[in-house]
Amino acid sequence: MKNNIKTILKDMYMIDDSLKKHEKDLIPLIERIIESRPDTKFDKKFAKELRMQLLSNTSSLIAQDKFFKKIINTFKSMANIYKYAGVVGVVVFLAFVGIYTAGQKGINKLAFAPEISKLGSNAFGSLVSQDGKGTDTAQERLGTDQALAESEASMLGSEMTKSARSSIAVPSAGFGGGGGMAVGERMIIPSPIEYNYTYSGEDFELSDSSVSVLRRVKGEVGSSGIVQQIKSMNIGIGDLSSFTNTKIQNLSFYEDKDFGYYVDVNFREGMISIYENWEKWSNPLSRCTDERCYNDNRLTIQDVPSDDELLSIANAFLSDYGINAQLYASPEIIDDWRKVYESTGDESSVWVPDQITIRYPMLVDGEKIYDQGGNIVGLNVNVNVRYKRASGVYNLRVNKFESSEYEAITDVKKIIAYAEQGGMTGPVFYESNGMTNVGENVELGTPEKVMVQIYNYSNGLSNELLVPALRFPILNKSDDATFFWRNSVIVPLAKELIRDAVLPEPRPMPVEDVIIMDSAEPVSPPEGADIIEVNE
Amino acid sequence: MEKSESKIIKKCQSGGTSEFGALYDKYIKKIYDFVYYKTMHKQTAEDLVSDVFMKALEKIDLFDEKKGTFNSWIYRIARNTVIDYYRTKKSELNIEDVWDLSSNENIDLDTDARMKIEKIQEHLSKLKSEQRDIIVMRLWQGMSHAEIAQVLGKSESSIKMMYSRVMSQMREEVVVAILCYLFIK
Repeated sequence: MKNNIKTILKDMYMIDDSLKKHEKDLIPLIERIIESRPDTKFDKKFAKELRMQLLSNTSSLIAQDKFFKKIINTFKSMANIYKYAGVVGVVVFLAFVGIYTAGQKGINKLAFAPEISKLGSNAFGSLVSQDGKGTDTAQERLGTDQALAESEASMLGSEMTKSARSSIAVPSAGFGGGGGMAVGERMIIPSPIEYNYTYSGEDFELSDSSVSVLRRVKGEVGSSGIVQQIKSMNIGIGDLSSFTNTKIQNLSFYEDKDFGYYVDVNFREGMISIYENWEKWSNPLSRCTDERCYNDNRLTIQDVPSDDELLSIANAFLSDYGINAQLYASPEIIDDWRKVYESTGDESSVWVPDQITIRYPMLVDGEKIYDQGGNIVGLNVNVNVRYKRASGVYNLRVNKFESSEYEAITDVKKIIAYAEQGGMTGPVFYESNGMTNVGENVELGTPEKVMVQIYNYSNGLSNELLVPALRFPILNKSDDATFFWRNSVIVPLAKELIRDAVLPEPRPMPVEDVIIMDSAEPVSPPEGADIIEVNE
Repeated sequence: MEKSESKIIKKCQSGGTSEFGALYDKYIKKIYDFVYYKTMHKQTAEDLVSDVFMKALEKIDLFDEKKGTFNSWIYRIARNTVIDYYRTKKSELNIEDVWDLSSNENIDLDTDARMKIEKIQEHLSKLKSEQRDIIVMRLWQGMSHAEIAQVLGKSESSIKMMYSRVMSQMREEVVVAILCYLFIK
């Protein structure tokens, strides 16, 4: 310290030489000041957490910026078209300028990085839906944002997709997998199989008395400014300003060019969907009127890009449109169709999908999210096989959550018992061969901690919840059971969900989903199997 | 400015998503310490430092290296953030940091910090916020006069002069205090 003080004094004397005569006073003064320096208690953990938060926000901000800049450029190019046609384009353009401006004012306005704010315990009320079933079913899930994204993905298919829908769709968990595939055989309705699940993993313990349940925060993200701008404009067909307490729910636009996109921004759900502007994605099959045309133009396995190429196309699209893939885990290709293709004797009879989904698993608090059936939830990018171009993005969402503590289940026996009943979706699945095949054994391995996405219905509204859960991997997935698509069984760790759960019942036959391919040669049904034909 | 730091900033400004981490790593401790010296409260310092880096991230496009170093730029953000915090909290324009608050006020101060600064509190409290910053940056953070000058937006010579005067003023107070003590005794 003495050297340090000498340097300080030397500096001072250079400025004011007269201070030298006060050196005996100055030395203790400087010493006292230096000694009084408090310990700042710099917390490395705080620094690390802030760093993570900043970097995820950096990614979001820049991604967001890039995304909206691209959209604004699109509108700029559209502006001339609408110059004489009316004010609609200008309104929409201004609306997006509004979004863009809103996005610039605060990092998190439309940030896609997860953001969690903590609430008190049991803040979301009962986790069990008001109908008392505890968790949602696939039917119940319809009408939610997720279901919207899924249905958009599957329904806004190309002509080929329509064809594919004439067949039995692969029951993959894909969100927007589109296309599906068909087997050129006379298909019969699969019979349900009740699998017997047996836990064969290692012993484990659970000691946490509570779990953090997350609820997704939705609602009019950054839209209020846009509404004001739109309301202030006189479009000549009515006085929009006379409406009060207005909010924007949806905003859609499309690119009027070859391979253009249709973009839907759902402010209420905080979600953006991008898909093909079908008019601008030429499909030779749409002009086919006979089987020969279909056969000449249908895709073959050779048309399907390699996995590397698929990933490269998807990554490039996300990069081009400023969608930050770094917020997700490593992407995976949804290739259930390929398993069917490879397991079929006559591969020429298998319809190769026109779209393949690449899924980027969503990460919240470092955990992957699964649906109740044990499938990963994430951002989905569709790649058009014919044109080898990204054709859509689904489930691009604002990930803002509230967190609340709920009582956890720690009784391992109960958890295993629940898992052995098939977890949240029950034990029954459909087999492809139509044979009644009750009692097939399935082994469950040692579980890992994940989050499960469930929908809770309260006062007519659906809340998306992420609940800590255990994921039991299925160890002995049968190669023969083509349609046994499930990879894992999910058990939620919030006590209430298991305590109040009604054990799943066998599902009804999927009569409407099973359609016969008219062009296919009939095959003899297995003895005792029922055949139902459904004419289009 | 170091060449590598300049490159990093340029990358940040042109959309390099991960580059900001390097700047953060370099400055987090310095800025945190500076903010702590002006608040003497860990939680408050952490909240304000979060704001500082958020602002730096949002505004990095506006940083112009021709006008000064990144070091001085982020220190200025930190200084202004602390001033805004106390002015908002106290609704008084002359409050710029915790030293400006009366010791009678009910303010959050870390106990050990309160004890540690006890001996110099009286002297530092009498200084203007800017003068205190000079002392803190020079004696607690070891910054050069040139660096302090950039943070405070003044010339190096004026900072040297201010520093000299402050030390002289404090010395006089100490001498007076000692004389008073001896006289009373």
